Amino acid sequence: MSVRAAFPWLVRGVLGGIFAYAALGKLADPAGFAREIANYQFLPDYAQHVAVALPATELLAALVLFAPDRAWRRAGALAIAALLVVLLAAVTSVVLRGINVDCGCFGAGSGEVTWLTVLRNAALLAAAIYLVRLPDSSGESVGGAAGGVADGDGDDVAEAGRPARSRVDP
Amino acid sequence: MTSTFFDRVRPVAPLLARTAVILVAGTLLGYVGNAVRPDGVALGSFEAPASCDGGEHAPMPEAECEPEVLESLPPESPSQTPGCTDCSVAP
Repeated sequence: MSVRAAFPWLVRGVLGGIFAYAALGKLADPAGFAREIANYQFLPDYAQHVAVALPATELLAALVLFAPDRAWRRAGALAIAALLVVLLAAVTSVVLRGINVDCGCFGAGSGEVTWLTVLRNAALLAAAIYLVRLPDSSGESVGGAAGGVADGDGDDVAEAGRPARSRVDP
Repeated sequence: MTSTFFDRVRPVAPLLARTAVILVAGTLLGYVGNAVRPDGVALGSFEAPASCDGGEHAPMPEAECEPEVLESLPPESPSQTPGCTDCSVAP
């Protein structure tokens, strides 16, 4: 696997690892996480529902990032991007309102929400968008005489009998 | 020939559908997991904590929750305050 082909997997590993770690931290103390969400004063009436739904969704999306099927991997990245848009709005709102609140991003003891938290979420969102928009032909390598074609993720798809060419379709 | 909204959405519809499946399935898993957990969140009786009485990083809009400003005394004043037995005076 070339460096170019390995990069998407590296991004996937970091993003999926962070989301899985964050989800497990929240799942360890769901009631505490619900209180932290309520402290955000961002839809406080639904804090308990968000506390129940968010960690499981984060964990599932993180796992789907490593699905064997490329289409599901993209969907996992898009799901994480959608979650990050909401989380980014929440933390930005907290910082702009000057509310001193525990982040709760990785469960208890995650530190308070600052502009650094906003920056971190923005970076993760950029990574998720990168994975969603990953061109099908990125890092493409034509695999030898058998005509194997890589789709940029290193999981080469053998297309025996076809001439070696750029792969455009997903 | 103008393309309609549906023409533009159609190519990404499978991606959006899969994403929706992940989000909905994750939400359902969360509710099911919470239902079977003995320490799950009480969805019906959960009460958000009141402002300014939470933990270390409780919600404190700074304008509303700042501590009272203590009166600042010149160094010689505390010694003249009757009943002040544990006043410390800055050198």
